[in-house]
Amino acid sequence: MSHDPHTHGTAAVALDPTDPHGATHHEHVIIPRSTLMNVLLVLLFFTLLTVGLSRAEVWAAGFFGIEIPQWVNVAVAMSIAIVKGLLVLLFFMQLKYDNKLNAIIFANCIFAVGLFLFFSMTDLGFRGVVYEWKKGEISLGGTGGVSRGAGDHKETISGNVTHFAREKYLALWGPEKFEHIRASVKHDHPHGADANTANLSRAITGQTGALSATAPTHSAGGHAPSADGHAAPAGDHPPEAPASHDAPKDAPPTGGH
Amino acid sequence: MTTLDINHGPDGATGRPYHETYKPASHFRSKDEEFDAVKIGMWLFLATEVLLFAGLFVGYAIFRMMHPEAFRNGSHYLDWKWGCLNTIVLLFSSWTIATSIGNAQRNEQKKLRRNLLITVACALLFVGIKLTFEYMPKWSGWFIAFDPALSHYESDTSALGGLLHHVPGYGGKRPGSLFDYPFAENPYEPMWWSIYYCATGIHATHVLIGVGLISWLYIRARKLHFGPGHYTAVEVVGLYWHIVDLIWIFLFPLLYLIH
Repeated sequence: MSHDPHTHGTAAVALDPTDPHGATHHEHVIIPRSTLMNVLLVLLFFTLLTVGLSRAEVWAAGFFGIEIPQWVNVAVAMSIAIVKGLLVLLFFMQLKYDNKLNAIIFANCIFAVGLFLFFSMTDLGFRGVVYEWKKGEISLGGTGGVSRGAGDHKETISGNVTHFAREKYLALWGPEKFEHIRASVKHDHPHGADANTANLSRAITGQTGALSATAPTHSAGGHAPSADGHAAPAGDHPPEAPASHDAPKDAPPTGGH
Repeated sequence: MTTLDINHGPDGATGRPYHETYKPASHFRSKDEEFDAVKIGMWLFLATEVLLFAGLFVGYAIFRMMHPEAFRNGSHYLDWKWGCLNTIVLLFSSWTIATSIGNAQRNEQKKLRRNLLITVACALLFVGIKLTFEYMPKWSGWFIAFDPALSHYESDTSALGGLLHHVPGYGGKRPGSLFDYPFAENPYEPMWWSIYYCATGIHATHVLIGVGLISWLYIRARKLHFGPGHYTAVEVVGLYWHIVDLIWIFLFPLLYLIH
């Protein structure tokens, strides 16, 4: 406080080391009028400066065709705004003279805002990089275009890697030796040459046995419970009754009956 | 009643003003301790205010990054002269309220009241400029007769005895689904107006709350509530008013100046 010409107020409470709420009070500071006036003048100057620079940029673009990159405009305008904000915080809001705890509270808040802004902007700013990688066509066995190995063993895979391997060894061994080796390593494989089982799989998600395509489909009308909860007699639904008995003669008698 | 205005009224025994006989709330050992506690509470509140506006600033940054052309067009619709004038009005009012704290500390009652009144007047002027010259024409196409911008446009209708003039095709610059402006050049321009009205509207609401708070200070100052012995309310309302100014210091270049 040595630099503050005017202090005022009751003397600070004497420090009692045994008191957990030990006196931490700061002297009340009366900020000189001249300081406040100077800060106001600097703030007004910076306001006119930022407006002037913005106008100059528009003017330069209009008369000379000089396009100043947008990040420069943003950086200049935001730098001036930060300087103005600091002046308001330090002098008008008295953080310069105040209990440092208040400044720490505010600095932490600004840090949180910084994190918020930083991660939002890096997320959005690098979306393009991710999309470039994601937009490639997805194909079985990979898209190829990959180099592997080194020296004499260096090879570039084009297209499907399983085809690449097959063609590579066909060329290396010739068709006859290729078939011989295949018979020796795959002789008792149950699927024979058809190694790809992908087309044998089928989606079963969300289905129960009774609702699957192989289940009888004739139960829809005839066996639906009526509104009072009893199974409806066949006579209640004459048009549907015959159809329900004719339907799939080869289907196993499952459910309902 | 908060700790700020407990023990209302002059001291019956001596007739001395409130600020001379002020006693802190019973759970504080001294006036200074109370002053510090109140101020820390205010700073915590100001931190939440900053975080409220941080959401708007990040929203602005994200949408500007996604639709730079719309935001470029949008900021061209705003007149930097009104933004600049309002910045000066707010900075000046920040100075008057900062000075009013010194007035209370020096027991300059007349100057204290005058500075508080000027601050309220500036706050009302700010909202008045915003509503009359910015929101109203952009939203509806109606201009007030003495708006200098009116000379650039052709008015077809007038109302209220010539006080208002309507310019066809100017209005309708509204947020989101309310958008009704026929000459937009970018499909995302309603997004710009959403950000513009949300950010400046929430800020203007804070200005109006400030009008209420500073008027309350003025009424109390007339009753000699503030002086060297007690000026906590002037100080914390001053902090609130400065944060309103601080937010505008960032809103002004972001909305009006960056093209």
